[in-house]
Amino acid sequence: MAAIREQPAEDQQSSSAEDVPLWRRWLQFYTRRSDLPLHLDGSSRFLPWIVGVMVFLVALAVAGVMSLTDAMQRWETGLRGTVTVEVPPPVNETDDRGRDAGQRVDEIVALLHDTPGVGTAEAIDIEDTAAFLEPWLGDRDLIRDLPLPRLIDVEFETPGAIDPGALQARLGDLVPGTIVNDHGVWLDNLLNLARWVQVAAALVVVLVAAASVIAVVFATRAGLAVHREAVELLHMIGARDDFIASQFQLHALRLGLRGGAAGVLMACLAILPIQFAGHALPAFLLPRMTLTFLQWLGLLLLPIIAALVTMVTARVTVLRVLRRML
Amino acid sequence: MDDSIVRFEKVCMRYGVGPEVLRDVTITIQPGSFHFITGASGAGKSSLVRLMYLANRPSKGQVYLFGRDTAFLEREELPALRRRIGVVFQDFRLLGHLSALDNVALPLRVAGLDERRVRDHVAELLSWVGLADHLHALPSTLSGGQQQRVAIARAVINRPRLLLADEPTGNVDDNIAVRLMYLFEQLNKMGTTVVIATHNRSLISRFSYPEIRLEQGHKVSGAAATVNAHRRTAV
Repeated sequence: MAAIREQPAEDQQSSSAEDVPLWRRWLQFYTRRSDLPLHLDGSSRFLPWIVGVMVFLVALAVAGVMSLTDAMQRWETGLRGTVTVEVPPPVNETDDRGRDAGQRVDEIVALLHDTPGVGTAEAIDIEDTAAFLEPWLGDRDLIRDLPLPRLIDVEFETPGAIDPGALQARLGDLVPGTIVNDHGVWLDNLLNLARWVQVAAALVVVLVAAASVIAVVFATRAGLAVHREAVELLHMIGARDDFIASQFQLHALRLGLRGGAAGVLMACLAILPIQFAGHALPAFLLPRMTLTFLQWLGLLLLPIIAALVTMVTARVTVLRVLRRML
Repeated sequence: MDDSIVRFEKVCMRYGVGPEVLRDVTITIQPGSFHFITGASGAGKSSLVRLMYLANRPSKGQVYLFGRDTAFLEREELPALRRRIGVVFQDFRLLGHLSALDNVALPLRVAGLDERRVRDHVAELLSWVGLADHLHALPSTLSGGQQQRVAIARAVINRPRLLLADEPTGNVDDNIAVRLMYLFEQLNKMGTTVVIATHNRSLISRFSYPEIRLEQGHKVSGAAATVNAHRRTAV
């Protein structure tokens, strides 16, 4: 009876396994046949749906955080080390020194240019100010007649190079009532708010991941209960826990990938319209959800990460349950 | 030195908190021997066999397999030990979604044998048990006797040192039962220790191998260290 092996087969994993490239070993693992009828198992049918919804939520949260982080960097680089100087108009056509509004501004700008640490100082044209206020105050001609303060955009050579309070005192000597608006305080408050939004988004990701892990644990346990007899049989014929766990983890990986791919696709379909709609708004109102190529690539990694988490969770669950079996 | 394949020392067994199904059973089975475990239905034959293939632990007493006290076996040692034991289950326990070939291949696959060698071995063995035309048949499409032969092929494919069969002829007619017995005899001649639990008296009388007789969980005769324990020539 030559068909019966001469010696009982001990673990005879291919000795040349180390020579096989990693991608090929993964492909072999992924396409491996299953000895347990897990694909017929109703208890795991909902798993792709759960993973899909979770990946969708995480993708939205991650995309939001990415956009917010970009906006924070823009705010930081755009506003840190800048102040806006407000020069009030004279009460009459000219002030007590005979200067009109334009001359007052010119003197302030000149003083700013002479101040050590000031990089640029540029008066904002009254037309630009009027255009800026037009959406709120209406007709631009009327705005032009209003006693609006003139604005000067000032950028320091290095952030913190000049004390805004001292600068205001110096400018006030030249034109009384001149105000230096320090953006740093406002920026700090804004960044603080944005950081809390980031924390909330991270919390969403953590909670969603935890919910996914719990769902996978329950689905795996249900699968083990359904296939208990087959699992016992595999044990009886000498299967190691690792062999049985690999069947469950492979099944979980496939379901996780399928659900994750669907979830990230839905997320992309949701993000793209938000991205296009955001472009229609003025840039200063909201952080735009505009993702870079690398950020899109990061989002596309989510199904793989979700599938790996699903796989590892299934494996750990099976090994823990099997350890309690004989 | 303990060179026995199976040794039970005053073994008792109960399922959960139920009554004892085996009481103070002491047996020794030597390598290369052929034994029947006999007794009426409910006498404890299947429980005795389950202890031998480590599906259950005794509630009292010691079970030694291949000279090892199973109470001190590490969990990691069980698979290697179980691969030295082939089991033919009373209800076959074939996996319904796998073909006959894949069912028989299971013990080789769990040991990580190369897939081409697996298929060659299995196809040859299934031909040998008369199922060459049913390699890819699902168990549900096979008759009881054919399923039995698939189960036996799975139990012996890995050349076990100990073959345990629980009522292996319970679902087949007398002709097939005799053929299966010849198959077990052949394996026994190749050095496999065979233990068959059965209540088929005609089979026991036709193949007069030593009996381990159980009555209501007690061993009443057979397989003591010095009595009927050694291999006998087939009749």
